[in-house]
Amino acid sequence: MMRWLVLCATVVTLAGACGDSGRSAPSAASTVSATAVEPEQATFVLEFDNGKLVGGFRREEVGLGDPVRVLIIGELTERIHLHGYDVFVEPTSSDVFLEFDALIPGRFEIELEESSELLVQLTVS
Amino acid sequence: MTLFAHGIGGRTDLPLPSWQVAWAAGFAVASAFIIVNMYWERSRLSETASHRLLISSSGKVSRIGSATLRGTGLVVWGVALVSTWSGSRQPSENLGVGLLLIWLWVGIPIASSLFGDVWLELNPFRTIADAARTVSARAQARVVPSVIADTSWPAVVAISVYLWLELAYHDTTNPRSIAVFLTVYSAVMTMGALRWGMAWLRSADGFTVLFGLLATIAPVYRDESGDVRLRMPLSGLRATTARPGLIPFVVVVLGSTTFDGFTRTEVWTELTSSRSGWSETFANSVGLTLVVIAVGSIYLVTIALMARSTGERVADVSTRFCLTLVPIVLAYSIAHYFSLLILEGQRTLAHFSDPFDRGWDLFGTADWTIHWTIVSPATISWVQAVAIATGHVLAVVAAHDIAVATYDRRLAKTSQYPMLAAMVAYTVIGLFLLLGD
Repeated sequence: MMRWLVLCATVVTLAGACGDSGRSAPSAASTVSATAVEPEQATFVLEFDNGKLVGGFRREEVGLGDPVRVLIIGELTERIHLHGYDVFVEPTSSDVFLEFDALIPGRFEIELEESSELLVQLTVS
Repeated sequence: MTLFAHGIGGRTDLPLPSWQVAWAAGFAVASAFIIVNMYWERSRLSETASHRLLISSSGKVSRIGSATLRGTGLVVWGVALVSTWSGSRQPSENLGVGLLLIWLWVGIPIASSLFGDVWLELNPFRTIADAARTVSARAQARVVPSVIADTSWPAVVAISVYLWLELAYHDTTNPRSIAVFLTVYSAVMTMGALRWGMAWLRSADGFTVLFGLLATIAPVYRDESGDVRLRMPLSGLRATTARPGLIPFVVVVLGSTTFDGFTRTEVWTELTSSRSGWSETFANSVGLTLVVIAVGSIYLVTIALMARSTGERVADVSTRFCLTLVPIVLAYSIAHYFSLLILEGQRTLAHFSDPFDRGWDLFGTADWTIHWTIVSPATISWVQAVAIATGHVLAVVAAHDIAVATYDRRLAKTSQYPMLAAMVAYTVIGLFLLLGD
């Protein structure tokens, strides 16, 4: 009885584990080839008006391993922080890019550092 | 915002794929039915079976092991405390913050459930109090007030303070906030331990109570004479009595981990995205309280239904079965914090080389960067789903064992249906939260 149950449990557990594993992280050794990105081609755009994000909080998704370029336009009055990757953008009134390679899978927040206001929830998968 | 999204690592897990959630939920429900209806009809988790001796208390291994653990616990706690005050202001760079929020809060529960009550040895307050006792005869245990000797209510307060700090307070990850908490907590616990000894810690130290509870499911344990023995996993649950205050304690811990999961959902993120500072703390505090109440309500209703079918008092049924929630507490903890331990936990260990942010490199790990791909997202998802499903199965097994030991066959089965329903509910809620919606 006991052995039968353990066998069943093992089979079912393995079945669950072997199911759709479409998501797998690149091995540490693999690199992403940096394809040339046109200056106009941004992954997404964050527009600021009076220090606030136009459109408010939103969610964005990028693929694991993608080079990401976020275009920031308008007047930026606070430092922007992308958590996890720890990428910062200093306050400026000219257009800038927040750039990084999305090598860490997971969900990350982009926020205005001082006011702790959440701008984007970024999913890397 | 959740603690972890904001400070320590800034990364939260990807949501589980829905097929995996459905599979785990289905597995949980099916296994619960199988266990109750087909499995054992005599209690198997006996607390009185003779157990194999692993390490004798009179031997050298025991003395050296104990001394090592005590020394390590004291030193590491001291270093952590100092580093939160004078180390880096960046939470992800501060050793003390990582040690408390990752290695203590996630690592020790896992270690306890496998290797027994390791915190008992590591506990710096106990070490200090015992040392004082050997030095001064006056530090012998005094008469202990009954709220300390007989209840765990002080620990409910202690753990609630910690959980509020960890989950609700907006400036948690500021190392100075952690410094204040660690200092006050250490002072209170040490003073109580000096005055009343171990009785104080068992009643008031939230960590001693929690890790001690988790240790009851471990296959390794220490008996009264100090010998380390082997036993059937889960059987320790049967051997532990639930003191007044323990049920609220378990409900608070389970509720808080549930709330943590809830804060990672899109629903919550939208609700609080524009909040910061004390406004955020307020929203979190309300949310935390409501979720704890909800989790407690499920338990209460379940117990009430069970008491109705067995004809007992609610209090008796409640005390008898409350420990069966412990595997679920562990499962939720693993599901939500496993990746934190494996990923951001690496960085904490690296910080031992430069605990006070002076530019040292004591162990050569100061430049260590996190190996983010040490586990794949698929592995993390799998661990999360299996942890919740396993916790569920273990809880059902424990509850069923207690039922067959207490009631006759027919009553054992019928009384279990409300308990089954509650556990399925907790499991499905836990899995649903991992969907991230």
